Amino acid sequence: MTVTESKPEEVVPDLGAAPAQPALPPEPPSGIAGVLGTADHKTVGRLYVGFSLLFLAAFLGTSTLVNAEAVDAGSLSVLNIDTFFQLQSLSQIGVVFLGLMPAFLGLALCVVPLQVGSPTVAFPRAAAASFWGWLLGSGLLIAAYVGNGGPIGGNSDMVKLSFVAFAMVILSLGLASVCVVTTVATARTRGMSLMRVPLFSWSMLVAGSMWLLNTAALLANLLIVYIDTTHGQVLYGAAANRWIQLTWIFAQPAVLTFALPLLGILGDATAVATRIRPARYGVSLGAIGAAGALTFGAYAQTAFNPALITEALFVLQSLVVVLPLLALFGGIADSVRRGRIRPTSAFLVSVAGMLLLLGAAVAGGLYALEPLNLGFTVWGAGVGNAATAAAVAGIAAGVFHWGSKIWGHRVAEPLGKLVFLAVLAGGALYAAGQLIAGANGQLPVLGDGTFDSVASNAEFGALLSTVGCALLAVVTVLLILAVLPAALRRGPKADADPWGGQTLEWATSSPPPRGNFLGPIAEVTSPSPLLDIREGAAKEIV
Amino acid sequence: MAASVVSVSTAPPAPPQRPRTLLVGTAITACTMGFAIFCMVGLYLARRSDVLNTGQKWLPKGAVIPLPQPNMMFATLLISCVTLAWGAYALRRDDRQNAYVALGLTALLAFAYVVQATYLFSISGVAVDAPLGQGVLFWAISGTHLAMVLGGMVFMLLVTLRALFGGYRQLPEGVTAAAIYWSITVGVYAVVWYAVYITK
Repeated sequence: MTVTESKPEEVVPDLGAAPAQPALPPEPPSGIAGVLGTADHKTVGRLYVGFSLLFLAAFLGTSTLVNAEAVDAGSLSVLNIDTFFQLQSLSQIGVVFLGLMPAFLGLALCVVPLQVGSPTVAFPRAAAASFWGWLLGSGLLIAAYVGNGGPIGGNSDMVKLSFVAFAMVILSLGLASVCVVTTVATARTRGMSLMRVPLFSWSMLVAGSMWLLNTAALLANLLIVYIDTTHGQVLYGAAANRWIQLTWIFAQPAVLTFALPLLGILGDATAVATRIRPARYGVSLGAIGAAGALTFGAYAQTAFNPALITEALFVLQSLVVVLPLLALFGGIADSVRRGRIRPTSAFLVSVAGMLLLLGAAVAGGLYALEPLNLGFTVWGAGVGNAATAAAVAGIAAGVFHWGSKIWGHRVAEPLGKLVFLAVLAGGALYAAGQLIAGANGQLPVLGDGTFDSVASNAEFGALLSTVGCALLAVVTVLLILAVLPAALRRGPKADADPWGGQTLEWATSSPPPRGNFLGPIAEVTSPSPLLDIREGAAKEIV
Repeated sequence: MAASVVSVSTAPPAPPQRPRTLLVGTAITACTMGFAIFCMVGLYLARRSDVLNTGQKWLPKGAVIPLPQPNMMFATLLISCVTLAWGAYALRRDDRQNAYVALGLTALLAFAYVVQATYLFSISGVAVDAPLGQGVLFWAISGTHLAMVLGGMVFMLLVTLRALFGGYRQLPEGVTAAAIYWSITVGVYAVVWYAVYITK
């Protein structure tokens, strides 16, 4: 049996024999030129992850400030009304579109081609273009807000610029989603049917598809708002109406979409942590697919139809989405029961994320029950907060799981235990604060900066949310600290397969070489090809 | 057994041929664009329904959407679908003469669509700042679809040039991808045609 390797001390599993491959293209440039002009999916993915973590920390900090304003019920105390609403919309856009989505896409651009056994991502130059477009759009968006732009800004030129920049961000992330989805759909190695795709790649296929649908609808909203803003501000572009038309993307069910990759990360981390072959793989794939389909939210635009939250489709969707999540969680629990558990940071953090996502789904189901009278209270924000926290946990778990593979140096694993505690506590508090206030009938801040009918426990709830959001910001900072030495290529080099992984990304060196795999890949015959090889080798010894 | 024999494969493998990548990527992109337009059409229909329910007229005063132009535009697009499929078929059979004629006809029909669309826009008289928001929705939908058509024309131009220089003699997936994009564009127009131009 042949074995391929990159260095004498780093032997990677045998992937079998296949026909010889043609010659390689010339070596790409190194240094700054190599970064600016790269179409290498790993470099683009690293850039996405690095910048999005910085943005995520910054905007979770901004969100903490916005939440803190509600602690003093009755009126705003530190920020004026305009600044409050500006920061509120900026932090919502920033956390999701400058933090969560690009971070997951960055992870996917790095890992998905490796998992499916492809030498590159589909449309590598489009993936690189998406990163630079996203970065430029993000910079323009922040600059527009600084210049009093944003949906409710006072400077009309900056308001228009903020819409253009936001559209640029959405288009760029959409382009990256197309690259990832197409990679999973078409670039799989021999024998890897969709039923054998690793769970993270599958979850990115599902999440990417849903992101494309939801953000296409958001882009349609944005275009209509922009046209009306520039031509008379008759209806859609009137200052009071602009932001409210875009907020559905941050509300259920669409907001749950941003945490979907967590499901795949949890599945892959569980296989590594339990050291056993995943059982009922098709059920896991089906559960992730169903969860994705049930987070379709382009139709749930309450700005145009406030009564929608009482309609049968919305209620049914809100109640049913918890079922696939429970099915997946049950499978994870079964694996833990059957396997020899090794509590890796990625596993612990992704379990915390799953608990938060389950909480978000259950809270979303309650939100849809009309007799509870939670509609239009800040309970809805609590659902969004739980989903956001779950997504943050997903990113943290992904970084701890694949960080060493992505950067080639070990990520500080001990920090992962701290991240687990912080993300669980932070996420729970971040959501619970709004849920408590919402259960007491607390409504969001009014347009004049005051609070209508301040509910009992509202201040306590706001305090919990503030502390929770601050903890999530700390989680992101810890994540940056964990990754920084590896990103700067300091510290011990990572092994090719530090976990005893089961999927193809662990069959190549860390970081992977140009072309990703040193040798041709044998036909895949199960969802755990490396486990097949190990078990085959063990049988040979016997 | 694993890790016992070491190969000296220092050169990484080159990317394998993935003939469906461009087709799937194009289909996903075109469907996403189409979905964005469908969302706008949904808002258009909802808004129109709200306005009609209040007893008001939908089209603003002085605005008119005649039928001949939208119908001819639809017919033009349908014919262009056939000519593009003809071009892809000819390329697959390495019949360059037929391919050139078919791709040239498709480009001509696409250009004719753009001319008809701009003429329709010029005579429609729908103001962007119409008081009930009709103008914004009308221009957002028709403008986005025109942009989609123009994107398809650029795509077709690129693949036609590659076909001219022999790039698709063995593998005409670029032309097939353009045909997929164009077919979806025509499908989207069918919805716009009925919802915006026919039922008004």
